[in-house]
Amino acid sequence: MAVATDQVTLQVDGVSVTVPKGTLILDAAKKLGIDIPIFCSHPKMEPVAVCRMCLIEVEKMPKLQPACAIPVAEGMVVRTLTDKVKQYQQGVLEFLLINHPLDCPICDKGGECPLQDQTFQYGPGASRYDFQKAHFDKAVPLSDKIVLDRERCILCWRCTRFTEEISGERELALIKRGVHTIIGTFNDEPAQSVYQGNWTEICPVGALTSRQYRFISRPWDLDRTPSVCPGCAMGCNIQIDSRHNKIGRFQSRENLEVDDGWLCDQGRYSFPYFQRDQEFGSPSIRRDGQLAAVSYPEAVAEAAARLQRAGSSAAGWASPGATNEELFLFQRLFRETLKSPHLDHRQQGIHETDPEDIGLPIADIERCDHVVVLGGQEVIDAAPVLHLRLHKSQRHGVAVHRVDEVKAGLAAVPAEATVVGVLATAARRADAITLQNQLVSKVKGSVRRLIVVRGPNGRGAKDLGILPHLGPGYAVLNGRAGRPRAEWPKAGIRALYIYDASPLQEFGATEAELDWLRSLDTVIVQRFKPSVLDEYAHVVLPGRAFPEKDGTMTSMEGRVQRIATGIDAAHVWDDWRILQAVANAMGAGWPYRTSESIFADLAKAVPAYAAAAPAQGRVLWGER
Amino acid sequence: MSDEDREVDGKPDQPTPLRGPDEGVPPHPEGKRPSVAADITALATGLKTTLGEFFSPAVTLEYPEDKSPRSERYRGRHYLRRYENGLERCIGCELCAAACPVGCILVIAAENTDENRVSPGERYAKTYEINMLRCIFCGYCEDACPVQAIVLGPEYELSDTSREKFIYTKEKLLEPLPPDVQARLDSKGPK
Amino acid sequence: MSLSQATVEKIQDYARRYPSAQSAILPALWAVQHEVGYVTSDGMREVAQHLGLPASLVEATSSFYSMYLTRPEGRHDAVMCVNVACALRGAEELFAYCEQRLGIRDGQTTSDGAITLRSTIECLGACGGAPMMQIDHRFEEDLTPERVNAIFERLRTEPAPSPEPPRPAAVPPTPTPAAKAAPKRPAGGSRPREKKADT
Repeated sequence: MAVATDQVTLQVDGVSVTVPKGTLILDAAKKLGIDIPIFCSHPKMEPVAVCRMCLIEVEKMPKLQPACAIPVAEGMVVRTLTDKVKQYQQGVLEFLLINHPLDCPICDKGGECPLQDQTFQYGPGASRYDFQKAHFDKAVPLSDKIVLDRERCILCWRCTRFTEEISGERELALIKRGVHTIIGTFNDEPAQSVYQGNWTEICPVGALTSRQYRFISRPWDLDRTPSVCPGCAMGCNIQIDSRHNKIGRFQSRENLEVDDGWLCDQGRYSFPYFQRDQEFGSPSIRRDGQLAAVSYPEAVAEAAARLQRAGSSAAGWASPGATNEELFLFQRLFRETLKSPHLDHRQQGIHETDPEDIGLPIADIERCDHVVVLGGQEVIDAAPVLHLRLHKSQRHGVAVHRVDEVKAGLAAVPAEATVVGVLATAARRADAITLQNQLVSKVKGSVRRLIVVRGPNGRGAKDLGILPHLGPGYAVLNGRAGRPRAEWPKAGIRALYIYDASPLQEFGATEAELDWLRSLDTVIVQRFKPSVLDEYAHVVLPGRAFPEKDGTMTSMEGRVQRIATGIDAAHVWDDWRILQAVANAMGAGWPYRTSESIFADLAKAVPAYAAAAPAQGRVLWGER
Repeated sequence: MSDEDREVDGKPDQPTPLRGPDEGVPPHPEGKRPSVAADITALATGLKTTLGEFFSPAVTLEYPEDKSPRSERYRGRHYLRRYENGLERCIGCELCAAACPVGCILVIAAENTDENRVSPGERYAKTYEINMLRCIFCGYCEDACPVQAIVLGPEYELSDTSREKFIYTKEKLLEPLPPDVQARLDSKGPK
Repeated sequence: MSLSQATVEKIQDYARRYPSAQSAILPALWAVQHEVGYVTSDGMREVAQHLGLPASLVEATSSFYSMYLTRPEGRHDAVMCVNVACALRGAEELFAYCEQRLGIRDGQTTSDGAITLRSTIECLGACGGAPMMQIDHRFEEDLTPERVNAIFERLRTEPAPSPEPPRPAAVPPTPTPAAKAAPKRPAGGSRPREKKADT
């Protein structure tokens, strides 16, 4: 028999299971593969037991108990399949459906709705309630992103608890009481949260739905493709849901180490930028001042000829939204084929970097005892899902200090701290390092930092050497360093190749730079959507958007993650194929046929990436 | 070949070989030709049947001038119905498309607004297409429809001159139902 | 900022009395209602600010209880109980009589702004005197049409009741920072049948 240990043995439906003390009956049953229906319970939130769907029988307890809220006890005997349980499940569902409008045919949740599914599996089949249903407001805009249907709401509190426990904003509340209870914001003001999309995902009915996805598709018509959010360097895992080769929505694809199952609205609702809702022009060459449409081979030949003329006085800017494979080829095109060291991926300002920047993996924030967020809100704005991780850590007792100054950060952390983290944006990297060094001498424990870089693959761009002074894998270029973007106008550059991979991370030219572009012999623009740069371009090479290509992206914590092709754009050349064609037109002789084959070479050049091939993996610099 | 032949062969399981062109007509089993009188009797018997059928009522119809009556439940081309106030019944729920075993229905939904109200409620079908070449007229779409918007009418003469014309668009499907079908549906008291 | 300095001070004082600021929401809402006449959204926003709580929580609390008014109402609040015991004693018929007598429907206010009539409240706990009615914070029991007439006549001329909140009235009329501790009860229970379930 078990003595006082941390393990508890109980019986569920006649099967014994041993789980840690404090486990809820629901989770113990799940471990055995026994499915207990739930609505209000959510693995990331505290139990409330308001929906009563998970009632089960526990021996020696007179009434049925909510499995989602009762912790296990030694020798407990749980029964989930008795007639009494079934009767209660039917009763609960009958009650939940009394005022539910049953408008599943026009509901965006229909087909992926826990209420629908569980009614089929556990429900009574028919209602005995033949009176008028209570009516509430339908299609209420909670904000410009979310539509609330108050009739469909079953008051599970998941969304209100999300705003309280997960995001801490407490924007949603239960207004009124009894049968009149509704979900709402204060004074019906539009919700401000940047995590609203998550409400739609946790809602177990069709009460909270996305405005963007409204009536776009039924779930069974969607094609689902695993990918990584293009919004910021956080690297949240997403699923591209598309219908008829058009993006319908981005959904979260839970990765506990990165996003913890959440997305921010900036990322989730960014997909219209990547939608190929029209044709974005064919390859073109400037002739007599006008862009003329040509074929890809013609445009590539023209680009190659122009680049070859410029030779080592050509410069290249690649977006931090490009994949690792493309970036690797881009720097090879310049360093090997053109012998030009002038490479950059940054906008204004020069942000240095080194492998130490990712000493603190995102998930480890929870394991710190003190975290200093240097810059406060600006860090959160740069990677919004980070806030949810910080809030979760805070709830579990991590002291999170949001400070603006190094001094304040140093003062906030006591000397007895054991595990300390420093978060900052790339713009304040120098401050973060200062703070880290000062903290190292102050506290007795370890101090690690995590720098939020710009662009979903800003980390990859640095790792792969899209920098004037460092090659792939931060190889030092002895005496062969190029000039950074800010100095190009004065560096005798004659040709500029801009690879604008992502509409979210554009070249972003200043007025002065535009003037400079006008004076250049050659401007080659490779981009997804028509951009202001087309006007200055001598050659325009249309490429693909991120949902249309495959490859790998490196998040700010150095995690190399794969994106897959979700949207077919076969008539547009893959970006790596364009880069290869340009290089081969100059005699490079690259043999790549797939992005995987590029990754194989990439991993040889940057050995730390080898561990990431071919499936998802994590590469942490400085980790042995 | 009769059974006797095979017994004469003594090999009942062997198939009789085909006759060659020069082998002639085999002898009658009874060994002699039938008489002329028997021939005339046979001819008269045949003519009797012919004449009898000639004067009895015809079972075939002069299609396409004459058409046979269709059962009430006959499943021909589809119609999308409207409410009496002119609003479309279809709510764009795509359940017909989900139920369709051959995938011949395409529905793309959109949201009703006060300025552009197509159907009651929130949702309507912006696009509704049926590929009649693929349709097997099973009627599952009619069964699946929660608002009785789609019905299969009595028309079966759907031939046309190009494949494109077999993609029935919403415009074509919303043509008024034949009056008798409309009357029948009305008498059933749809909701 | 719309609330008066006195009300704001009152709210801040309530916040100091409880270990959790959330506990001060109800008395703070009373303070707003007694100043403005009903609980305004601006008032709730201010309460939230002074208590350091999200505004949605204040609205959730105020909308949960029926004694917080959400719009301007009459000088006097007449709430008739139509719960089981009163209903059995003819409360529904009597309420219909009240509606007819005042010429208004449930939830409306007479045109002279004197009386707001409601029947939307749960049992008021005076079943022994059914049918009954709560006039402002006072119970009127064993009602008959004649008694109702008399009450309404009286209310038409009577001024609004004192703006002191019933329970939080423990605060002295002119609070000073030093007087915040030890809330004193008023000369307790002197008013007969003061409504108990006010919070």
